[in-house]
Amino acid sequence: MNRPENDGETREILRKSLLDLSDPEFNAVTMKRIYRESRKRRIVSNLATNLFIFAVIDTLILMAVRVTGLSVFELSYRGVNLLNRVLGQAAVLKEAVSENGLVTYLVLSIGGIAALLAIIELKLNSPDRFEQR
Amino acid sequence: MEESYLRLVLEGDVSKFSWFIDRYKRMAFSIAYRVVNNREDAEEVVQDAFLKAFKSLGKFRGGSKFSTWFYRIVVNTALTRVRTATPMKESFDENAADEFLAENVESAYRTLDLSEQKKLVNDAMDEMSVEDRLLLTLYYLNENTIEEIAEITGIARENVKMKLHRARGRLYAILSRKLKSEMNWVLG
Repeated sequence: MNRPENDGETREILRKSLLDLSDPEFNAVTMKRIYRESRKRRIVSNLATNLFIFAVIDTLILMAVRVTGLSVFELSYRGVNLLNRVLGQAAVLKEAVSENGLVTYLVLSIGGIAALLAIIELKLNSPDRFEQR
Repeated sequence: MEESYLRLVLEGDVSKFSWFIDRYKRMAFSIAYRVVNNREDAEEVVQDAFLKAFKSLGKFRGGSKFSTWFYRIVVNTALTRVRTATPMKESFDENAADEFLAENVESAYRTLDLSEQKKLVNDAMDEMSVEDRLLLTLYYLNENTIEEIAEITGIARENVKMKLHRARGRLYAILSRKLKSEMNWVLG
């Protein structure tokens, strides 16, 4: 076989080496990985967005508290601390608040709400919904 | 067409990414296989490459064709896998090409049926270096231009043509040798 000078013959010969994927599920498996990645990105993005929104609100509340000189812990009815009424039996959270103050309480609650919203949003936009289309 | 699918995926319609998988999986598999030389690994490489492409889709600015950008990801992913596995095969000595040229080898090749021809070409490709296989696949099968091959492989543009020429020579040398030995076996 002499070395051909035109590319056409080489192309013709090499076409015989073109391979096919053997896995019939290749598309489905790949798309599943894509959906998983997309979901992961949504979690991070939603969490970050929610945290940002609540951080802004948190800052505004703290500013308002400072400007008005309002003390949340002193707002009580018949001597019952507001904190005790709100938190009830959540001893751990109460302890954290007592030890570290209002900011810790806000960070904990805001973080929790943000995570909760992210999870709810994820459930609503579950990748299974796309896959079932 | 491609741009509209790209836009839809970037806007959040993830399901439209399957269009890209359908369109590019076969050639991506051929490219990956020529580097890793193993079907299972090649399939994993292509999957990983699609995932990487999806992750960095926002960075694709359309300066080159999507296929060129994507095949570069495939090549890099495959090369990373090869580097962590067995060392690459040595290049076949191009000067050996003429040694094996035989007048009637070509007619022998034509007498082979399609499956035999396919096996012969694939066996010959297996004997070549990763770089040779990759260049031949990109140029002759995927019909990429020299510029695109330079972008995909990272080889300097002026070297691509020369390397391609040599790779083609080596392919024919291996094919000739294989056909000659097959003929000798048939003729006893």
